[in-house]
Amino acid sequence: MKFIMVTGRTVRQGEYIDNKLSQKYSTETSTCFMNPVDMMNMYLEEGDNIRITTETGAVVFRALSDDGLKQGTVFIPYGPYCNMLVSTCTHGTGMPDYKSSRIKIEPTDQDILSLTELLAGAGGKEI
Amino acid sequence: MKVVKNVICPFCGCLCDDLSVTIEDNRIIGIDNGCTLANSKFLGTTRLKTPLIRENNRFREASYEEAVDASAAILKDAERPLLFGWSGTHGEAQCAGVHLCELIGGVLDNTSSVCHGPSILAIQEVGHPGCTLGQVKNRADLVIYWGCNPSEAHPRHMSRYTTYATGFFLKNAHRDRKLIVVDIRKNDSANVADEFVQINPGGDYAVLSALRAIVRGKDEFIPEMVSGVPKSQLKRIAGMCKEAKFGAIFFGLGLTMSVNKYKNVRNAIELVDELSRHTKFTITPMRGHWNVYGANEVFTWMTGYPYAVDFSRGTSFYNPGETTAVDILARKECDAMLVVGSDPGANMPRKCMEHMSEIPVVQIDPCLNCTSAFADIQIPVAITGIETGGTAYRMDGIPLRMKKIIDTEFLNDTQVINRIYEKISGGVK
Repeated sequence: MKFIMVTGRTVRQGEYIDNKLSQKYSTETSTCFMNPVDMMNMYLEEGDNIRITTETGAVVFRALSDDGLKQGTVFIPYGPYCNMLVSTCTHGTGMPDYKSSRIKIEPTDQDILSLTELLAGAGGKEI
Repeated sequence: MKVVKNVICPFCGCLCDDLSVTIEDNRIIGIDNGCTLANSKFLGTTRLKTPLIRENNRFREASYEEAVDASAAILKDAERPLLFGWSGTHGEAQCAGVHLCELIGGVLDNTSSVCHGPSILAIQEVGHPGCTLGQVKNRADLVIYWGCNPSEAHPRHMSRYTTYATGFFLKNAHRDRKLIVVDIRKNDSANVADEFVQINPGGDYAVLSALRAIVRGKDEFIPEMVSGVPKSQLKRIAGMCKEAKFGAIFFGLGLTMSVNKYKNVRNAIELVDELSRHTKFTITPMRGHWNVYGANEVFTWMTGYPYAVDFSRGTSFYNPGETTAVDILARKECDAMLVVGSDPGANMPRKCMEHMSEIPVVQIDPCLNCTSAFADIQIPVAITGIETGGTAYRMDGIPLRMKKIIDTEFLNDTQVINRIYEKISGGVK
C-alpha cells in the first residue's frame, strides 16, 4: 500500500542522541507508527515487521499503531533508518522532502538491520 | 560535593538557564530542573576518550597532534572541501570555522539547511515579526504551535514560556492562555490544546491561505473543507486569534520540511502580518540544536549570509539549492568534508552518505555517532556548557554565555579548529 512518510523528533530519539551506537537508538529510529485501520487493512499485528520502499531503496521497520495519525500517513522517528529512504531532491531550497516522501509498505519476514549493517549499505565502515 | 546553579542546558534551542548541577570529584552526579534530554546530556557516559585515525579500514588511537596534522593535510589538499555542522558548538568555534573555510576556499554550511533554512529564505522575502520568549511568557494570551511538537522536541518550552508559565500579565497561565496546536498528527502537545487542528500532509499552505482570507473578511470564498480542516473550525480559530490581546505562533519543521517548504513559512508570516492589523501577533521558529541560531548569527555577521556560504570565488557566495550541503553531496561535488557538532551520517539522505564514504571525512565531536562510520579522522572535544564555556544563541536570538562546570583535559572546538588553521596557514593568522 502507498503512504506519505513523515519523519520527526521524539523524546526517546533525543535521549539517545549522544549514544547513537546503542540498541535503544536503533530500536527507536527503526519504528514506524501507523494508523491502526491501515495496519488492520494490511493484516499487521502490533510490532510486526514491514518493508518500506522508495525510489532510493528499501528498509525494514517495526510497525506500531498510533491513532493520532490519519489513514495514509506514517510517522518515523528521525534517524538513519528513515533517511535511507529520502530523496536528495531539494527543489532548489537545500531541504529534502523529510516530511513528504511517497513510500510503499508491505509486510515482511525480513529482520531489521543493525545500525552497522544499515550504514554499511551506504558505504559505512566499522566504527 | 558542590551544586552549581543557573546552568544553561546545551541540548535544544530553549537553552533553559535554570538547571542546578550537583558535582562530586569533578563528576556530575545529579541534575535539577532538567528535562529527559538535559539529563541524558549532563549524565551521559559515552564520550569518545581519544582521537582516532582510520587505517586499513579500522580506527586506531592517535594523539591530538597527529589527528590535527592529518586533518590539515586532508583539508589543504582538497579542491572543494565542505565544512558542515556548527549547530552543536559555541559561537567562538563557529568564528574559527568561518576563518578556516575562507582560508581553504571551501563551502561552509550549517544544519539550518536541513532544519530552518527554508524559514530563513521566507524571512529574507518578507521579514520576521518576532519577539523574545520573555515577551511571550509575560504577555501572550494565545499560543499556536504549528507543525511542531514541543512536548517531545522542546520538553520545557510549555512550562517555561507558554501554557504552564506564569507571566507578569497572566497570573494563571493555564487558564488565561489559550493554546492551539496545528499538526498532521495528534501528538502529545495536541492533547493539552484548547483547539487541535489536524491538517492533511502537505496542506499547511492552503490552511494558512484560508485563515488569511477569513481574517481579511473574505470567508465566503473558502470551501467547506480545506486540506482536511472544516471551515467552521478555521472561522473559530480566526476569531480566537483576532480576540487575543497578544498572539504568539511557534512553528517547526512541519512547515519547512513538507511540500511548499519556505512558501509555507512565508504564508505563516503573512498571516501574522494580517493578524497584526487587528491585534498584536508574533512568530518564532522552534530551533532544534542548542546553537543553530548562533551559527546563523555568526555566519551572517562574518560572511553576509546565514548558511550555505561558498568561498571558492575568494569571496562569499550564497545560493541555497546549489551551495547547501545535501545538494553538494548529492552532486558528488566536494572532495573532503569536515563535520563539526552535527551528525550528517544519521540525518542526511542515503545518497549523501554514499558520497561521504568515498571522500576523506574529519569529524570533530565529543561522541561517536553515525557519521563515525564514514569518518577517517575522529577528534573528541570538550562539551560546551559542561567542560568548556562559550556563547550560544537561544531560539529567539538572545545570546547566552554557556558555563564551564567541570574540568577536562580535552581541547575545545575552537582550539582544535585554530590548530588546523595554523597548520594549514603555516602559523599566519
